[in-house]
Amino acid sequence: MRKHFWVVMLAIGMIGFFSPVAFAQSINTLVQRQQQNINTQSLDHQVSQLVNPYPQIHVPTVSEIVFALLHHRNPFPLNTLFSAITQAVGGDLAQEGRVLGIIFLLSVLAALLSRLSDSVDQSGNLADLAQMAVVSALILIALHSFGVALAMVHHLLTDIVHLMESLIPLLIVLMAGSGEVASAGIFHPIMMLTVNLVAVLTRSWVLPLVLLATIVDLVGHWLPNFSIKNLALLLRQTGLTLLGGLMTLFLGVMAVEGSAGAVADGVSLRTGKFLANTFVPVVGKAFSDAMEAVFGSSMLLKNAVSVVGALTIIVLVAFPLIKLFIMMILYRLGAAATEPLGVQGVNKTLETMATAMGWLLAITGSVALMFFLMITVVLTASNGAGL
Amino acid sequence: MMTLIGHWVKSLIIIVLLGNLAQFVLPKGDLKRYAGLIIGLVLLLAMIAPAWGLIHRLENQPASMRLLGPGSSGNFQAVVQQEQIGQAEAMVLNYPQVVSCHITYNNSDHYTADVKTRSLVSSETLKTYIMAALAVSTGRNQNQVKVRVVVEHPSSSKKPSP
Repeated sequence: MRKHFWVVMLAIGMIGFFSPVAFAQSINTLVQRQQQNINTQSLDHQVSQLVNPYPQIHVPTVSEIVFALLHHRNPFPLNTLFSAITQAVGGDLAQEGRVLGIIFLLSVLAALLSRLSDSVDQSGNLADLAQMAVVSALILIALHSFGVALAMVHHLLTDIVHLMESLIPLLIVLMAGSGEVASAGIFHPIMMLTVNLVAVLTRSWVLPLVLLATIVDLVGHWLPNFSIKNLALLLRQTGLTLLGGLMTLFLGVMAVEGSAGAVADGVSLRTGKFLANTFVPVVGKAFSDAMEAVFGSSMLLKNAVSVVGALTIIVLVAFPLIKLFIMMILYRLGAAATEPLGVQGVNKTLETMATAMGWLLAITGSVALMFFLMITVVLTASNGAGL
Repeated sequence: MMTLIGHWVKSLIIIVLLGNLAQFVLPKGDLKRYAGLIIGLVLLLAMIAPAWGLIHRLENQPASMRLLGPGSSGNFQAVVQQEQIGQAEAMVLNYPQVVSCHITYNNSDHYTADVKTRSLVSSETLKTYIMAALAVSTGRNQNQVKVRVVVEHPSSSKKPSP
């Protein structure tokens, strides 16, 4: 009889102990407690440092996003981004338009010179020389602006890699915290590997190859006698094939690994819940509910972290991409406008520059897309494990 | 690798520059046409030069060099010898009472061994053992290997001989 009494007391005690965890705590307090336990300060600091050049944009911190989501509010108003982008477009147009003005002036001068020399000298040697002089001035200007664009892309790649390196550990910790241990274990090495591989290959192989191809092309327009344009084609093809192969490999691996991890985690979570429900006698249900609440709250935090990462990538990439796009459009415009003047080298040079800007745009865009997809794939794969 | 490609492209561009200069300077006529042909040939040679160099190097390299990468054959010999001596030293260290052993190579088949022992050891036996060890590790006959053994043990260092 006495033994019976103790068992009953123990059961009552356990119910009293566990039920507050499961029921009395709202998701609010749970999330807040978890948020105090994980350290998002380094990520927030890094993000604010990276977004520093664009003072009108405020990327919300992790806690701000969680707070906004819990209170059903929009964490990131898109209007500010759009207004900042419009401002940037205006500034870039003014800046690059000046370069285009100089180029127009030069090409008009070249056309005048060639007509004048035609009337003075019948052999055509003088006209050739005059054209070469003008084209060399043009190439200097064009190469300078290409150098600026290349440096910008380099800088952007470094920034994105820094962001990913501060984002991944946090994401992995929260993933493991929401019960997706297998996904976390699979994703961690792959993500670190791909981020660094993509960055190193792009920075030390793809960009230099595109630069070399552009220079060879420009030399071909400058000195048309012995041209090595097919070499330029070869170099460019090599660089872009490298990038394309990398992207294919990356997407395939991410997709397969993501789904595999999600399946494994889903199975283990469900069995865990079932075991707790059936085999822990009295408090099993309460226990599994508490587990669910904790996993849910850390999933919310994880999504907030991913949203911060994705938003920062968008903000970081948007401005350089717009600048490159404007440069490309202006060079195309220059090529179209100088064609009727009849100076061969000038319009070919401008066309080459426009194409080179287009390649830079493509490289930047695809690398940024890869990192963006990495974040979203990780997010959806681990959310799919679901409870 | 990327720097190599950069150098290659740079040299090609320089050749193109010089060729164009020559075309500008030369008077119109037969000479200009021949010069153009020569410049084109030079350009072709410069373009395939890296591939040519690579094939040449692959053909002429002995197997031992390919293992070690760029270097001389003496380099490879030295590495092999160092390895043999290291193995012999390890064998001598297994001998009872031996604390440390350092073998140096003098010239063909002549070695010097500095051995430290914990207590007095018969130096003749030790010498035979070291010779056997060197013979095993270098793969030679035991009576071909000549060793000068310097044994140092506590009793000899404590009382300096008069």
